[in-house]
Amino acid sequence: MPTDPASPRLLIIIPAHNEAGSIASVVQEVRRCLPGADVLVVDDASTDRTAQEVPADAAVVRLPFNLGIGGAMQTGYRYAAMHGYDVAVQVDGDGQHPPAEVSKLLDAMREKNADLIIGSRFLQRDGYLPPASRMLGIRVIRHLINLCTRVGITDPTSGFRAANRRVIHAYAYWYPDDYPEPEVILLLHRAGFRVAEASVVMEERLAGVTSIPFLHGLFYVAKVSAALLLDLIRNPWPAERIAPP
Amino acid sequence: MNLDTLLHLRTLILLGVAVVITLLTIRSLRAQRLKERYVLLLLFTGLPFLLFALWPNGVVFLQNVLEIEKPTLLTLCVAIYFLLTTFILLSIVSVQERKIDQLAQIIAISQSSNRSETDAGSNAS
Repeated sequence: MPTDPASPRLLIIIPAHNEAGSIASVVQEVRRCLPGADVLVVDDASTDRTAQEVPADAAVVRLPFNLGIGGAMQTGYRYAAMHGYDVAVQVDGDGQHPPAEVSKLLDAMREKNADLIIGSRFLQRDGYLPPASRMLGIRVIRHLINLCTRVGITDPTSGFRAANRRVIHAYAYWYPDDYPEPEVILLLHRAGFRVAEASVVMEERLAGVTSIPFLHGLFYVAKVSAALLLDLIRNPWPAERIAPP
Repeated sequence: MNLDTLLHLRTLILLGVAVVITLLTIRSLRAQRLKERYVLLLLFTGLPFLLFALWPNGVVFLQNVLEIEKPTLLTLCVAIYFLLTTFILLSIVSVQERKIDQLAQIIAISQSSNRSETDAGSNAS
């Protein structure tokens, strides 16, 4: 925990499903780069030894059955809300999000006075970039979101994000199940939250398999597009229900 | 009633069903009573009704293509009944699924906190 009372209480949330091959090194790297932060691994009912591989100085929440990425992330934000954290940063358990880049998210959150900061691979285009087929899908989703919000998001599917207290409480109350990353941008914007981006460098995953296989990419884009259109007609975060205590 | 009147009546019925299903699903989505994936399912299932409402001769066209002797209104009525039944069941499933997910999350967090306290206690002793 930070010793300076002015420092925000920071929680690093690492959702993991069958990431036994990479989770220990990811947690150790977070510990090394962010000694003042608490670490929470949300084990989404892995069938391998993911939970056992987590170093002892990190908290582990083991879900009794698989809730998917939306349910796992909401568990992390619910934990953050229950324990009074000021900022929660989402870091993938597969090693794609270098913990050294977290400070860029936190700096951008302060400078831009944003509620949610998304780490974008495409602002500077350094480091690992997805293959061309996936880039095409990301571009379609990006145009759709920007058409609806005019925020100018470049990396809507990035899961490398920092959320402040307001967003933590909103997510603890409700979080999308199926396509959380792109959907929350539109929903948060419509609910009056400030969403911005920071340039980050990402790496290739250390182990495990992607949750969106290549062949399902096209179907994924179609479903996300339909879901985004539905998001235009709902407000899942009524202001009076999500105010932090 | 002549054939034109019947066709108009059918168009109105089908349009009515399409509008009612669309409004019900959107209302349930906004009220968090229906999950997004089920909304998409229902909207896509309702599309044939909209198609046949806007193109009444489509049923006759299908009759000829599929060589079905009589495109009966009964079939449509049964389809509408099943669609509405599915809608109600999916609404129940959505609400219960969300509650079960919340329960699972809270139990998992509580177990994690208990584990931390036990570890802290054993370290202290």
